[in-house]
Amino acid sequence: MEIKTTDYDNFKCSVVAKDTPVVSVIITADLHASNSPQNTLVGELLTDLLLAGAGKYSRDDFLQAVAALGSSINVSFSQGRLTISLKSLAENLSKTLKLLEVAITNPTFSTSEYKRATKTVKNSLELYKEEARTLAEDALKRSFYGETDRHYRYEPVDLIKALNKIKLTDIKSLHKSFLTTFWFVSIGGNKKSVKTTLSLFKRLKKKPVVPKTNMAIAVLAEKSKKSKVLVELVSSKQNVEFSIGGHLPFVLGDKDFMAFTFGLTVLGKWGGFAGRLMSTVREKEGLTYTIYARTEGVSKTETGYWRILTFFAPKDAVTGVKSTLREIKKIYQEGITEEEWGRFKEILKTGEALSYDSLAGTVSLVHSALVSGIDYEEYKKYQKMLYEVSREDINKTLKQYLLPENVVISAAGPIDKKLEKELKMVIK
Amino acid sequence: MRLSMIKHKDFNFIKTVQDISEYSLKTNRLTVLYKHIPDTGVITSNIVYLAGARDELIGETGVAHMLEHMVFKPTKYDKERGLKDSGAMNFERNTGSVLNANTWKDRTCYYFSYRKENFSRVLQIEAERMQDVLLIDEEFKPERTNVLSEYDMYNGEPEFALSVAMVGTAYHSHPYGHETIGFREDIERYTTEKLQRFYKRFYSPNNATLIVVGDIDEKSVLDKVADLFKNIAPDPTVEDRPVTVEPKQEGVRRVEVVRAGNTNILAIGVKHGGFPTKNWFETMLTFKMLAGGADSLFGKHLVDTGLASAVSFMQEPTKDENLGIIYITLAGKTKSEKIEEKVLQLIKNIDQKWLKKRLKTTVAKAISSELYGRDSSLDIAGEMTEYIASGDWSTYFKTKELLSKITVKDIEKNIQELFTETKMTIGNYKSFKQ
Repeated sequence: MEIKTTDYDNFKCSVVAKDTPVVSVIITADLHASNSPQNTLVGELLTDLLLAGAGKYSRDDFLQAVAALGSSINVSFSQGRLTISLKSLAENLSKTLKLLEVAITNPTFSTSEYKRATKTVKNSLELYKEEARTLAEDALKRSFYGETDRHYRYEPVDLIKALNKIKLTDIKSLHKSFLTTFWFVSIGGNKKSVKTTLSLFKRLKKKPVVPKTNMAIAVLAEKSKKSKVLVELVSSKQNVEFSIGGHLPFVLGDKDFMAFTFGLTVLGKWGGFAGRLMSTVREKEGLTYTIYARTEGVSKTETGYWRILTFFAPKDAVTGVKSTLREIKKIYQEGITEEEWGRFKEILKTGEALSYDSLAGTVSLVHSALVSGIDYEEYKKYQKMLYEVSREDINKTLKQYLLPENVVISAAGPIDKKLEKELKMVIK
Repeated sequence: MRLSMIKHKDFNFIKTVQDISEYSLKTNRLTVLYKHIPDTGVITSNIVYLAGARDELIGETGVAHMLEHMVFKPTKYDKERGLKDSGAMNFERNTGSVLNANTWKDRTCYYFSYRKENFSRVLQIEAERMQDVLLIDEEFKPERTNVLSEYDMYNGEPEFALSVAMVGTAYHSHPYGHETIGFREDIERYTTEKLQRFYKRFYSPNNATLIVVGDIDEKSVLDKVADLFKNIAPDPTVEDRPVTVEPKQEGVRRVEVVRAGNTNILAIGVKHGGFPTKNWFETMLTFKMLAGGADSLFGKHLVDTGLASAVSFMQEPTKDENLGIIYITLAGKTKSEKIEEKVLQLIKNIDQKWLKKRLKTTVAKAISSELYGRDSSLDIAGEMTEYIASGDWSTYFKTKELLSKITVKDIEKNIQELFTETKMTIGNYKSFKQ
């Protein structure tokens, strides 16, 4: 498998060349202007309407044409970024790319499809009101970022209210921005598939792109440094979902970021059982099924935050939060041990090695690096830095950034008044 | 096509199908499957026991899954070595390898994905925990609360709560009438004795298949398996799995779940053939055409029109006939009765022209999904699990052929048979404001 990132005139492309019968392509364009309920919804609607008829195809014809090739084309919009993912068998790639091209360059944007999409977006927002895990996470982000920041996610009720303000022209305008913005592209497949795909993007991105004027810089909420407990009632759930975290003042590539990431992995390695939180809160105390920690939202130009994801039964919620805070305080005060430093180096190296076992996993890894502002060669350099960071630096950054007194606890689930009061007492 | 086979003194060679070879360990009939993926530096091994929720007694539902958790606890050998954790956890915590397990109706599997230099260590762990895990209260009690936490996680999902009620209503005798995780009330009453009984009954080499996929040569695999497993005694009684025939259903069955919240769901369950029969795949294609995404029949008539927020389906790859369920999440004030009537009418109105067009694209998509799902050693070993549990792993290679042969007439017949009074169970999840 060969991996390489190349700069082209109006797009940047990471290629994962591997002898395989399948092809995986991801395109991302950063369309963030300013965060608002309207802009969020316009992005959501564009993801639907890009696949709702194009050129000579009606929506039904288009979806059937893609399916007939055994291919899939999906579109998503998150934090101001539009992402298109394509999967195809190598033998059907040319035909699938033709469908992708027509969807991107010549979408119909009919009024009837626009009305349908509006209805389905409204219904999916109603469902979001009961997604306790997402609600807890979004509330945490709202405590760190100001409304105009791309990480800030509006509450479903605000989004539903704004839905009738959206016009079809807004969606067309965002689509135009998509065509004229710089793209980040990742392609995984055999050499012939890579060549075929690249030639499409070279053709599509011939015209010069409109330079982005708004450099993405995190806009912090005014009171982001205060410890607090946020609570949302979702009575249909059995567990209380928690997102626990704090803001981080550095960007990707800072030495502190590498050291902190290492330390946070020791606390709550994402996936598996190796992290301290899994060993104690789950294994020893039996309080939860999963408890993991990681940094999120950090890119080469944006600061982010650290977050612990877990859930507890309502009767165990206070004990669970106290145990989690105890582990945060312990690693903050004492740092990681010499033994953990050596062991987690191995763990991190294995994690990287395993991610290359799958084409889709590798493409996803190189693409998320690309979107964060680093090409593959730079990614490798950062990984090396991560493995070489000293224990002293790790413990120094934990002391500096994993501040127990600034921890925000966001909870969503079957939380009655008594539990809400008890949770708020935990940080007092 | 790989035609070679290894002659090994400790194994009987059984067969090679495409690039996977099967061997049986002479001393205890442990089955070994091997597939080579060179130059990745990675191996996945996966051991599948034919022990699942179907093998549980009344009042002990979920015990197969609880035992799965306990198999990650220390063995007598770990204690002798003075390890704090089990060998498996210790290995993961030292190497960062992927390890996990899952339990389903017909089987339980344990898998590791790791750098190739760790192969021997992983096999040693699997051999030791096949029979020598210490099932003691000190380890069991905190783990049970984790399982209860897992139960509550699933049970908080309306679709799951509804499926528990629906399978219980659909099956009166067959053990598929309870979900794999079991009932909370049973979990709260487990004892280490109950776990021990299940462990002794089902965890033996002649009830297991070990799959090794990845960057290692065949001889090294067989040598190491023989070395570590050949002295484990087989259990002569384990292969007698009882057969349960579900009594005849005589009319549509209905069930309701009522909870606080906002979600309302209509679910239509139908009994379909076991995996991987032709009927199982016909039903899969039927479900995909009815409720599999934006271009499905219900997607178009219910989601696009604003009557429903979402449609989806669930079909398990189980050995015996099972209940497949289509979920329709109702939008706003849509009445369940109205949607039920509409859904059954839509099914009734399906014509040959529509079916012909949809079947072709649905088959194409299903075949390519199979290929996308065989992307890594972990994916391959994972997918093989269900084929092993069905009784014939080599059908893994027949999926494409099977799907390609399904005709419009087959699907028409299948639809007529599925959506009848003797096959259907209808569930309603109703919410009230608190």
